[in-house]
Amino acid sequence: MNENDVNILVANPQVDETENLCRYFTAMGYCSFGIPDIKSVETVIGSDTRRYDLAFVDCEFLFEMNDKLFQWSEEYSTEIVVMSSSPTVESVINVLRMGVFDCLIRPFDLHELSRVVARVLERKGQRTRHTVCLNTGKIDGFDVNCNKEVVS
Amino acid sequence: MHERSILIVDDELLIRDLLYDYFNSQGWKTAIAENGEKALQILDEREVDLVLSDIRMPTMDGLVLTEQIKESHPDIPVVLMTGYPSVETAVSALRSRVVDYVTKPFNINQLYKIVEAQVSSEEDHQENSDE
Repeated sequence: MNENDVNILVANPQVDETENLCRYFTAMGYCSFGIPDIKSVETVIGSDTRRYDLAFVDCEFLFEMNDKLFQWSEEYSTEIVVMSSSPTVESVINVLRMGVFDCLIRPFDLHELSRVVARVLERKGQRTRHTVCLNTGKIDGFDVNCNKEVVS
Repeated sequence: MHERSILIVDDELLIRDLLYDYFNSQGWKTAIAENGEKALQILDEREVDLVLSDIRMPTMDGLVLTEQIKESHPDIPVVLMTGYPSVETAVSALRSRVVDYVTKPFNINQLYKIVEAQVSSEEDHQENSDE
């Protein structure tokens, strides 16, 4: 890994979904790391000095880790995207106030993921690597069925 | 000391008047607009520390207004309020980078605290970047 790599952390108790997300991000050319339990999240926050550009975090983990997670994200300039299965207005207001970058409601599709990654990298001034892949409509077996104007 | 200023955008006269009187009584320079177009016009004419806007309004809703404010005045924080809260509008608000989403009916003291905290935080941020 070098400093130009885009690193994505996926912190999510749903193992299958985490594996799929990591596979997808890897296929897009990013470095992704999946962690399935809160202990591992604590370890990453506590001792992993790797810089993650963004972290996809299940809302269960988000509310459990809250302050620690946001201190870590501020220290490493990591944008947090929360994933939720059954959000309420109150829970969305809570995450808005916490300062998360985006909120994805399950089930979400690959377009939404691509858009979020593109928006984060655009904000950070980094070029998205999957532009070319999206224009072909396929990423390593994933049917992106792309909207070409999404990613710049 | 810098006089704080707020732009209140709501199509309901009662809410506009209530908020206008309250913020004025707290020493704020207060502007009001009954729709998004008027709000954008005011923002072009004067400096505003924060925009407090309703979401559901005719012609231009608060979410569209927020998008336009973020394009033309990206540093002005926006607080949205709504009497019709939903997950969809809350997520859209989050994506538009509003600083808060307040549901009606609101407690005016709590709403004031939210606005005041945001403006104070912006002032601190500004002071730190000036140093």
